[in-house]
Amino acid sequence: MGLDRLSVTVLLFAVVLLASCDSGGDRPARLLYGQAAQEFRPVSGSVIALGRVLDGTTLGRRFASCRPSGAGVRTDAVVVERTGVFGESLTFADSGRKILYACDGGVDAAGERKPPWCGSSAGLLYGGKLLDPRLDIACRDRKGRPLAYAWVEPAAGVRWIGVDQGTYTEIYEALAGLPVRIVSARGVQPSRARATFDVTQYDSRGKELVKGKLEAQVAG
Amino acid sequence: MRRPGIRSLAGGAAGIVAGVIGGIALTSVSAASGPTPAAPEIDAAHTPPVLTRAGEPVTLRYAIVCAPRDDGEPCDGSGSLFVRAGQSGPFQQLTLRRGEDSSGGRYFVDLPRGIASSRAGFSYYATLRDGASGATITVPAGGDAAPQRSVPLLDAPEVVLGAHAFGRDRAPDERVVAAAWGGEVGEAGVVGSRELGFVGPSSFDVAADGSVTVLDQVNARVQHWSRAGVRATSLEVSGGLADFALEPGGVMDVLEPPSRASPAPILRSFRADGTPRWAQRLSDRTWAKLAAGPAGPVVQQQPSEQWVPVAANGTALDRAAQAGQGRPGRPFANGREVVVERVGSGELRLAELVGNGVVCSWRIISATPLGEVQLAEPHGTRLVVVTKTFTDNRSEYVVLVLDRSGIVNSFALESLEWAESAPLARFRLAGSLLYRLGSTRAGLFVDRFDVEVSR
Amino acid sequence: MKAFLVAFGVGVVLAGATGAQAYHRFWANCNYDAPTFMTTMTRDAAQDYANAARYEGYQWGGGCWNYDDADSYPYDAPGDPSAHGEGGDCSGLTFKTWRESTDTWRDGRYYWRALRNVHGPYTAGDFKSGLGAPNHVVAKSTAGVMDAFASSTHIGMIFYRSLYGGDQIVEAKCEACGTNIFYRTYRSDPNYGGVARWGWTG
Repeated sequence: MGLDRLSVTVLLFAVVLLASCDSGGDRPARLLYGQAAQEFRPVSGSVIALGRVLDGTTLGRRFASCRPSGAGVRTDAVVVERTGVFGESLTFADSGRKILYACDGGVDAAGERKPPWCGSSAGLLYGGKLLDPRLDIACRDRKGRPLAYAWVEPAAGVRWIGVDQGTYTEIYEALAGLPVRIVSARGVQPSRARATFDVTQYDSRGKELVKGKLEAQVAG
Repeated sequence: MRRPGIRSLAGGAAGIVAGVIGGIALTSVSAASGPTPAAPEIDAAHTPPVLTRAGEPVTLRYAIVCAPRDDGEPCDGSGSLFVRAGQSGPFQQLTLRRGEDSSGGRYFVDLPRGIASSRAGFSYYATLRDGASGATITVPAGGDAAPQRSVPLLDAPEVVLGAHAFGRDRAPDERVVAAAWGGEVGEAGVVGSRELGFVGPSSFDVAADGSVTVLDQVNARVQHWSRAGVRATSLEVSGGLADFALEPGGVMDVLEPPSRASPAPILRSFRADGTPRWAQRLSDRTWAKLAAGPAGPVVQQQPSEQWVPVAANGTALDRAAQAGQGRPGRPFANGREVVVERVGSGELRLAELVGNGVVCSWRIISATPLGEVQLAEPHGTRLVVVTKTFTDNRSEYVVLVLDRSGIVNSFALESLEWAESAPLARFRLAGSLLYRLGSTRAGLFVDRFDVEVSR
Repeated sequence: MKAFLVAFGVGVVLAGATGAQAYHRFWANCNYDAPTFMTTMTRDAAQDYANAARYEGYQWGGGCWNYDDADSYPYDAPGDPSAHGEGGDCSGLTFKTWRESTDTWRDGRYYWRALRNVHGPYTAGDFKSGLGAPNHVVAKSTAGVMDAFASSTHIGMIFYRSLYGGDQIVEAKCEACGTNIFYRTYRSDPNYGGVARWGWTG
């Protein structure tokens, strides 16, 4: 074998090797603001999105810039804050638990809204449950990719919700008895105002309980 | 609080929606009202200046609405106005001009000063045409038989409300109805859907004996609250946001909104036992309010912006007969008619008429924007008015008791409408007692206020 | 138990989801043609457009309609997002009437034919907050013809103001209500805000 063909062969071998690297190699090491990305051990190569349950007062401007006025949402409302690899959100309800609200993070494509919040959603609650995931596709990530945000209602026994992001799974913890706000850059169809999420729901030990596609449409 | 029954808000909301709205889908228009109508080729909109001030120039504006054009441009419209000074005599024809701006109606005419300033007011109607299809429409539909009538506000006292101070609302004198959400007798039905939000009992009325009847349309019934207790009567209604009125003898009228199965509004009349009498389609396409008039039910309708009788002496009137009797004001048993006009963002004009002559009038000016007028009814020599005042984030009802000199009494009421109801059906007046329909997360209530008492 | 969990999770979460392939229904008649870029957009042309959608039905997440003055599927199961029936929903009707782009950063005028199946990126709540280049918040007291009132969950356009201070609102209200002109008091309702479209030309 000549040197030229050897070099090409080595090069091809290297390309194949790199292309076939497992997801651990593409798994993000950091979250949106540089936090170290933790792994959910039962799901190999996963990334846990940070989730915190705080009150609006503690969140300060981060909540004040999001809270809808005149909507019966208290300034000290219970807020679930989530920070993932490329998205972030706040979820909270009005004082009568009639409407669930979210503020979704990213870049406003119209350039009108200052970070962190570029979109928002609201959904009516029936017995504490949503009838619709309230898809929001108004935001872009830092690379300009369209983002899709939606709520997932945890099924009974579910503690963690995973969203397939392609090269890794982003894991969200069910918190405060509220639906879980997820985000994805995969399966987003802005021209059709719809998005498809690959969602898996896990119990506290990481056992898969529900797995399937969430197909959401901007509506209402 | 009692636990809500099966129809109340619960995790089975989707099933509730399917059951109730399935009932809506299966409800058919009765033979008396005819087959499902087609949307008209031409429609129109106009807000008549029913009460004018001395020296005020009058421009009449119309929107002509036709089938959308492929090029996205507006209608090729035209029209004629037939107008006269006063309320009788021949009309003169004026041509509507086409303006550059459609925000208030593209087609307009500036009334000649001699007509606009007539001490007897003026009356008019318009015929409008779509040049592309040739379709025409007369507004109001009664044409020369029931034209729009405008009267001057002569010697109207000006009542200046200033800026409204929110948060000083009056507590009720009595809560006459309190019903938790549910389906049992004594409870009120509520239905929730992602589109509608929450819908509760849409209307009510008060009988001469003070008993309160609530249209509990979610549960397909009315409920009567009196000192003897509460009883329910089943009614075949669509379940939509309907208005309701009681007539003498216990006859009940239900004004149904348009629905997907019945896109035109229908008035249904029922006997006291809930059995249907007749159903009649309205002459116009949209309604704002139902009331029991001296001769039968009357409805404030659009685009005519007239009060139109739908039945007389127990018999339904066909659409042409309805249109031929439209009037600017709501008729009352004392032979008077009350005319209401909300002007701009903060002005309310009111007048009591006998025939076509003004006997009393008022001009209310508010620094805080005014919304809809829920009620304007005579009470002896006075007029009781309930209107909404609002900012972008708050609202309250303002109750005014007026006599010839101005305000006799006034108070504010908190706006408590957790569930949606019919738009102008939240208040009723019986004598000096004002009744208010409201709702909270806990349930429905009807409160009573004595307007002759200041608190 | 597992079957129950699966059914429960899927049933609560999915919207316009697994039943879509089975239904299609009216949407099979619709198209995905490009809109026509327009230099003009008048309020009365918008009245014409919205008025023509009356009687055509209502569809959550929709949509498209055919001007036959009838809801082709009037007995669709209410609340079923996968029915793909005729009509728009409240925000979809507003999006099409206001000739908006599917890109939130564009404020030009894009004419969508009735049979073009499009909802647009905005929910009622998005309109209420003035999201998107074409939309902006206005004071309710001065909102006029073919401006709109929007809550977090619903939007209706002002067809015309009315004598008693309420408004004739053209709206896609609900499955059972259909799309029509209704008399409403949204203007004075604190749950509703005023929203308008930039760029009317007459």
